[in-house]
Amino acid sequence: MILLRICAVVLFMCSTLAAAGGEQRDRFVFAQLRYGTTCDPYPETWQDIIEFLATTTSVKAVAERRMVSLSDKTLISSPFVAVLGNGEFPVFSGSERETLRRYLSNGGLMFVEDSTGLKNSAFDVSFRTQIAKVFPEAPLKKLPPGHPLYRSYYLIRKVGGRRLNNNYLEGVDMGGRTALVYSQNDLVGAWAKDRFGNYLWECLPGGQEQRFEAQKLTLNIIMYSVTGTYKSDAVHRPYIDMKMR
Amino acid sequence: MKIDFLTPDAMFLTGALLALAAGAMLWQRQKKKIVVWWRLVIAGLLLLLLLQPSSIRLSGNARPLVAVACDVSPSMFLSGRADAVRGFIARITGGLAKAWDVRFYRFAGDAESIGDAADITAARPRSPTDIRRSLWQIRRDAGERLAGIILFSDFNHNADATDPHWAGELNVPVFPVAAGTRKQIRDVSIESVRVSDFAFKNMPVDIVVQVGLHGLSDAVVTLNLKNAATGATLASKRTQASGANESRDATLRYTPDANGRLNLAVEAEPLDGEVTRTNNRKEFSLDIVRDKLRVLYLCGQPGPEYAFLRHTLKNDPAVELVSFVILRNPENIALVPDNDLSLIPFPVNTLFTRDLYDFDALILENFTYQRFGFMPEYLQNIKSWVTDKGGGLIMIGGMNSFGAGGWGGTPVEEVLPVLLEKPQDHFEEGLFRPVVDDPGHFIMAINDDRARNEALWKSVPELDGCQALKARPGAEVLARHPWKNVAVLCAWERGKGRVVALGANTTWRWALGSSSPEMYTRFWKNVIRYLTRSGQSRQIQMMFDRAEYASGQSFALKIRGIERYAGHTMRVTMIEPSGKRAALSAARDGDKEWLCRGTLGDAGAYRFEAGLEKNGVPAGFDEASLNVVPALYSEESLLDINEPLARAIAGDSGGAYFAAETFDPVKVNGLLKKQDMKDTREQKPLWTSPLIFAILAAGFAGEWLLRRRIGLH
Repeated sequence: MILLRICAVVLFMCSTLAAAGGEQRDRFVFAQLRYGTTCDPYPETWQDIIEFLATTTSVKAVAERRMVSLSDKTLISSPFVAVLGNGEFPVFSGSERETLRRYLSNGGLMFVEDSTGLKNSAFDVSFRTQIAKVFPEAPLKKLPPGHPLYRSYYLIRKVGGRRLNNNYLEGVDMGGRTALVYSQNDLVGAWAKDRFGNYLWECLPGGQEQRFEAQKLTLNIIMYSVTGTYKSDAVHRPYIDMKMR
Repeated sequence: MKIDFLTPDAMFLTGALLALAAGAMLWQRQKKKIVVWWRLVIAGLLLLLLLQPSSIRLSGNARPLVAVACDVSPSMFLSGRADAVRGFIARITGGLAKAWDVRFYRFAGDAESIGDAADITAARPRSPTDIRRSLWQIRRDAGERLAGIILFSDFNHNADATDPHWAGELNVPVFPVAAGTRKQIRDVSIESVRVSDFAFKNMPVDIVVQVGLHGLSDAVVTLNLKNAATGATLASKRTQASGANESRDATLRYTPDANGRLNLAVEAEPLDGEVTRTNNRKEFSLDIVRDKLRVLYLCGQPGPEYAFLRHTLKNDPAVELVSFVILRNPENIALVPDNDLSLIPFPVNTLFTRDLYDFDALILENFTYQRFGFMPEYLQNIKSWVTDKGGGLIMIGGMNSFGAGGWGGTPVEEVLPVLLEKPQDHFEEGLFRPVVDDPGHFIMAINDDRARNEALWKSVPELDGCQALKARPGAEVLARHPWKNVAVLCAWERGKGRVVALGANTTWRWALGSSSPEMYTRFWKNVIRYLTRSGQSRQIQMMFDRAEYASGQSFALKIRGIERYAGHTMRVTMIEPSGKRAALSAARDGDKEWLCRGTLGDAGAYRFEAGLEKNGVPAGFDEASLNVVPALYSEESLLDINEPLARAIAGDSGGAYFAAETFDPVKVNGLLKKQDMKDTREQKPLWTSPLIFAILAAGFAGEWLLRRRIGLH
């Protein structure tokens, strides 16, 4: 039985590697910012996110997570970077602020999430302070309901998450696109499972429906990173408006 | 004192051997050994004469001569660097004099030798910095003994553009030292203005202004966009300084209401106590045109390339973009009803039977037609749209592109500039930086400064993998793989249209991996304009050797054609700010290029027109505008260290660069030009001395007397 399980795991890994290969090329990479000790509250969830992405969309993704710091050279190979945390957000040095600013100005997208699921947490307060220093001219703003991120793949009518702290996402706009997306609802926490495949946390107050909305929104954020404001094009509007009615 | 011989060693050896042989023969034949000895002494003396001996008195001073040159141009005083350098040199002079013979110079446009380091800032020449000219003057003045030049400057070289590697020709190491730290000055500067080459009437255009803010604490700076001719304010923006010295972008939005060329200026309203106001204004030109370029972008799979390119084209006011990206394939699972998905049908039928003809360019990225019910006539329509209607097509790589996308054997393949030999094209994995053989090609001109353009292509971030493309005969290979025999970017004309093949779909790395996405944006703008023959993509194109000129500077204007021309005449006209027209002579510079040189007069907006004709029939036309700043504009606006130039001078001359206050004489000593420090001071020929000839004559006479006395045997 154990042998059978090992074979199954090896088979899964081989098929994943064969499908994804070792090279990045033009494929999506789930990169996550490495800092301090509280940057990785959910070390396994990326696999489920990538599997969901590959199963339901045409996006080709690299079957591995890339941990990057702001000083890593691989940052420039990672157009999407997730920043999670349940402690204090790091205090950036001058050069790190410049790197972050350049990364986002040059086309990178950063998804920042407060994984505490609490309002006014240490992460939230420190993140807002830091980001105001990086973008003094572009403050965090609520993404309006018609924002293309809510339509990039799924038509999101309700914002989900492990906790419903906000019924919106926030973001920093740069040059006609949202370069930084901020969530306080712990979207990634809604994906977290234990070793038996059971969800680790209950989604409150909406339960499983709220969890699925969180998963759809996570996927939409990734789709937004690879399609931009595509769904705001005039050619889509009549179809989307009709479906949203 | 030492003896040296002017005769080459080989002759000396030959003479010695002959003398030995003669001596040996004589030894055997002559019984009177005293005669033999006598003759050998005379022969030896003759040989010595043949070798042209000279006495050399050597200098007792073995110390190298080092020149210390200090930049005293206006920028050095404005930024407070000149005084900092004078103080620094005063501190180190004593130490330097112990090891070297030191000679001091100051320079701006020309170098001047000074006796005392304290006099460095005694003069303030009002001329632009010419580092190259000054270094050559120092080189000539100091002579052969010169072992190195220590150069204190901000390296804002404001003379004519030159070969960036000129410093190697000095044949002496140069040690550039960044001239002190900039004192806390109060200054607002317009560092650069980024805007599309042209905009559209009644469509807003964003003008991105890079503003330098120095020593302003929390002052509010007002930026105004003005009509340079009338002075009317067209748009304004306020930005608050944060207290730190910084450069930041501010966007001014303006909606032009008339067609034609518009000369604009961005001005920062002066603040009290600013060190200079010269750099508060920058002028530029904008062509206002009527229509947009219509581009259709089909992408087979969402990815960074699509996101970046779509964003770039969407932000280009010259482009109206319609794009479709395939978000879901048949094999993907739908977990929600269709009404919960934002997917729309892909209108393949209307696109390729009707709408295609409304577009100027078609982009196919990682796209295979096989999945979307393409009828054969759609493929034929793409081909005829290119060849008959002048459409511009670009196919971009990816695992579903070119042969792998099934395009082989279709009418589309016939217009592609690459061969699709195999159904599954080979794919080159890994990171690589493409080699650009012709950086002057319209598509590859990502910077107006030729040297900078070439340098940019040599330092662009690497691409990740590419289709192994093979150019068709007649196609132009614009970029190739550095170590594989593979074309990366090819272009050609088919019928009335133009077609480009790009093997890699990771050009997004050029944006994300650069200090600014400007190069990436320019590249794609070039591609679209090349495909659509719009804007600058004409038969001929003008390129200047610098991005900015000052009054009185000379310029080199290169006019490049897109094909080889025979029997054509090029006419170039310069229209000065006063409206005066002057014909320039254009000399052939290869099959495709002409070169014009001239000198700019007063500051202001210049216009250049180039017309190509054959037997009186026009074959090409281009025009360009140039904003010429006052002679000392750069001196009074560039207050920071130009470190790239300093490093280039150090690297090319064999010296070393030192940041401010890090000067290290020990390191300099190790790199000084190696030469015989016991240099020749006085060389006196001995063989011309009458005494030698007297001794010789006495020798011959003695030998004659000896033979007379003792006989020959």
